[in-house]
Amino acid sequence: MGRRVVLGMGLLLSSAMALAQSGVQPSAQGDVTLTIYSNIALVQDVRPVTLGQGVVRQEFPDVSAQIAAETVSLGGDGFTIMEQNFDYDLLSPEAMMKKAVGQVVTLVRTNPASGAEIRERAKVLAVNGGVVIQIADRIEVLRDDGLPVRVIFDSIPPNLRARPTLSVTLDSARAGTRPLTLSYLTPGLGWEADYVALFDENKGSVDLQGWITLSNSTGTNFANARLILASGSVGQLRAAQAQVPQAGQAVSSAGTEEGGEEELGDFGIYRIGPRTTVANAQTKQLSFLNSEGVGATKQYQYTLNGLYGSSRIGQPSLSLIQFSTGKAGGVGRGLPAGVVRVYMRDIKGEPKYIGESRIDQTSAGSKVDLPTGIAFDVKVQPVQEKRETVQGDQWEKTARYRIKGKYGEESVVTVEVPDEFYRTQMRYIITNARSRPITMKLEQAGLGGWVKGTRITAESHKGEQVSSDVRRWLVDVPANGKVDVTATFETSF
Amino acid sequence: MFKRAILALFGFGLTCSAQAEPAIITSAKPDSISVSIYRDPERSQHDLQEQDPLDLEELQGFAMIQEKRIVDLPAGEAVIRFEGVASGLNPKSVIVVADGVGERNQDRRLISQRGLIDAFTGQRVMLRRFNKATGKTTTESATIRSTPDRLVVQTKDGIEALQCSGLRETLLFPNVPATLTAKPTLSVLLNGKQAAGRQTVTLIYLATNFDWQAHYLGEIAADGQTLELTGLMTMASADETSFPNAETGAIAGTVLKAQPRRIEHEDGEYDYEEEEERDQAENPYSADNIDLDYSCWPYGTTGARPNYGAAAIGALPPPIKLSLRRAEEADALGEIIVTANRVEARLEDVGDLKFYRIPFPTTVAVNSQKSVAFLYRPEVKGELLYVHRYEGDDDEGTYKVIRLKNRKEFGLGVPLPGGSVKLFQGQGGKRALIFDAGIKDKTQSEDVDLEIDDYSSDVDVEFDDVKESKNYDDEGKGWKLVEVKVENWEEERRATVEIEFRAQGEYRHGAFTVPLEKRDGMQVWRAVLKPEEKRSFRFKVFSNVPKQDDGE
Repeated sequence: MGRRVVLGMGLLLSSAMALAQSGVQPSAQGDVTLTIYSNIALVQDVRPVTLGQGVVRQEFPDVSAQIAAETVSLGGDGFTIMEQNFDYDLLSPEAMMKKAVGQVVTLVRTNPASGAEIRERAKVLAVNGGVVIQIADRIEVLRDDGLPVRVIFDSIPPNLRARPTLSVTLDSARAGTRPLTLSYLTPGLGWEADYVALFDENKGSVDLQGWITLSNSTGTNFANARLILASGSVGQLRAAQAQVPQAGQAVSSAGTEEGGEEELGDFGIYRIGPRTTVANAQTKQLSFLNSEGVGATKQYQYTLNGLYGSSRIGQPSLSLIQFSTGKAGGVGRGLPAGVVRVYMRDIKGEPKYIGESRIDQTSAGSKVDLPTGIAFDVKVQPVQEKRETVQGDQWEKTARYRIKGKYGEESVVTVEVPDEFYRTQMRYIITNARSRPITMKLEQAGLGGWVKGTRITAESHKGEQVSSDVRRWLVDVPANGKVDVTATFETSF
Repeated sequence: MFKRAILALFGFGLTCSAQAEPAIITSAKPDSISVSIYRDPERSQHDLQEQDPLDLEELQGFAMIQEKRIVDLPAGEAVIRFEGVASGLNPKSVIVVADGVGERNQDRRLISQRGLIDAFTGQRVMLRRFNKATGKTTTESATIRSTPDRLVVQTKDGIEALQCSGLRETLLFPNVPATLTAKPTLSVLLNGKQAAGRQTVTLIYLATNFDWQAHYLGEIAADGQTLELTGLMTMASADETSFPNAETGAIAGTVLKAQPRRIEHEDGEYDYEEEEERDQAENPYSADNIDLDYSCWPYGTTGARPNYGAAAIGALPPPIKLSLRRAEEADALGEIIVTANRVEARLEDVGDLKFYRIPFPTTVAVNSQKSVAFLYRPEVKGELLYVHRYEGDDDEGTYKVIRLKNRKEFGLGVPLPGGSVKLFQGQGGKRALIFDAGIKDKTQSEDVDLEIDDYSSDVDVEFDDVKESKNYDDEGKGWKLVEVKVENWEEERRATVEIEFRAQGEYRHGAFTVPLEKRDGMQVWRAVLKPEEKRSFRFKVFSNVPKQDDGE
């Protein structure tokens, strides 16, 4: 038995030697759980610690170099915390020299001509821009003559450390080993989702893969850690998102389906599979979603803001891919915020990148619109056909006519009628040079918030009022075809 | 003391054996590769003046690279390390098509002075000193006590700062730690569900430092009626990796790049994170940070002596310095390969983008450019015009325009990616550049106006205000009467002139004394003027400015 133990020791020793030689340092961390928000992380580190009885000082090396020291807490049995210190007084030549003020160091001078070495003891008097030393009864500035001098310090002062170290002074009720739970917040750990979407225009589907991208710039490795990811940033509400898609930013209409993720407060919580090592200066990606054959459609979008003037030539439109996070025909779960990179297959069947968009955190059952690019072959030329002033009496007629049908006659009298208003006739020429039919989401924005009696008195295609400011038409355009959409607006501006 | 040490080792040993290290397989290079180059998305939307030759030192486009690698996979958990990927690889964009991919990593801890010191902190290395006078080298054992930027070592004599003494000192390391790599290295961890044996693994990623540009060269026929048009694409790579025998192509059209992440602050303000900049600043292994500046104690002396240390032992080369930039970079710049003037690139549609495929394998070399023809049309019918634009009440000036109808019946009818256009014409036996401008992306059936500001115009168009009503340009309705004078200064040639009137804002045009042509969104006066011919006509600009709101 005893022999086996000894043999075991020998093996362990050699493996430890091998590790030392390969430059891998053992970490003092225990069982680590990282809860990572978008830009900050909660580290929980359970370490078995052997404490003596009475007042003891316990060090916790290998904490994040960016630790927010004011957030440190220590849990465990049989002790009370007297004091906790975070020593970020780091070991450096300058710190060594400053701590050596009033103490004696050894100087080794090398004669540049002979190479002979002379040793002498010197007292460091002050470090103020330069180092002033006293050797016997001489006072001199260190290396003022530029000749080589090695300065050898006797020891490293106890408070100077290679890496930031947390130390806690405890009053321990009993001696012995017990687990202590160290927890703190640290910046420098963050995550984001990254998606790969392979879109098949013929099948009308998208294969969606999701990856969690972790980044660690804390200066510290976290080995074999349990990972929890929380979407949203702490104490910061996400601002309401814009409704009009901008280049490079997807919007989604919020859904209400229950997603697969846990909810904790306002955060979506994702637990990530097996334990993993989050090394410093490493970008790590973990798979969290693989959803094939999600129904997806292609759409084009052009939004004109304001009713003024015409374009000389066709204006480029946005190319969008639309899919749902719902269970029926969709991804079936909520999606954390991140960048979706979209690919399509070329004629040889190889994927080609066609653009990307950032999505906000999206709940299950939402509709996601992903703008991927500016369409080469699909353009819209808005043309102002006619703009005229209409007198007040004409306005009232129009108003009465419109309101009668929709709200009943009583409301007519309450409408405040301006003396004069403007009638603008617009034509939107949609051209499609693709060899397949397309659907254009054409939008006229800048309708003045509808507050002053803006009306649409005629339109060639049935429109939808998406907001008080925006009219939308979904227009099918044949392959290599052209469609004109006309609309007449009456406005007070 | 001894007992404690053994206990510690024992504990460590247990954690070691609990985790069997996965096997590491290294794939040194791709077995086949395809490179698709995308233009700088910003540039294609900007001024046409910026469609200039590519600057290899500042390529803002990117490439999608697809690599196929044949790898012998073991059973069980394994790590595949991919070497020889593009240096501009964006780790977030990586797709690995293989069974059992559990996680993928990009390690940036590079074999470097920083990496070595970092990895050996707390461990024993050798400290070597050179005595210049005696020519002797002494070596002793030392333990690194601090992190790379503040180097303090412990020797048998005591504690010392490295490279503060003015002596030649360096550290010798026993080996290269396994955690360090020569270049940023991509690896994937396979979870053991893969089939063991020889497999093809596909790697797809985006990489920066590529771009391409279309150039159109046109020869105008002697009669001035047709144009021989050639389209060339110049593709450039400033990557540090060469891709031999690659399937190569260029993508036209504008792809959108995701907006930077929005960071919300506690006060409700927000800004957009410049991820790349932050990454550069935070990553200790980025080119800006990887160099170490050993800080010593304060160097203050009684006189200025900037070249510290040199006075005693002569000029010293920087002791441990490793440059990540390629030495041959300067030499390789400017290598231009023109493949041929034959149409090589084949056009196909990928969604809303146009993919020009070079049908034979070609090498995308380090810091190189290559040009391939993608378009040749011997007889494109065009028209030379003097176009004057009048928008609202703004006179936008005269442009000399060559108008091409992008249709088959006019000898064209193909997608035209935006780029520079240079037109030449033989004049008196000499070939002269007569036109140098640019176009934006144009699809089939669109008119292509090749235009330049023409300051020494052969055609003069003048607008003189004759009179205006009292409230013109003021609240309510008003008008302005304008006289237009057009003159062809050419003594021998006719000139086709078009004046475009476009309503804008509160301004409309009417009461023309001549007939006008109606086109989409504008009215056009068109005339062919004989040499030295003058014409004139009048029209009115009507203004209708809404009354100012008094508020609700």
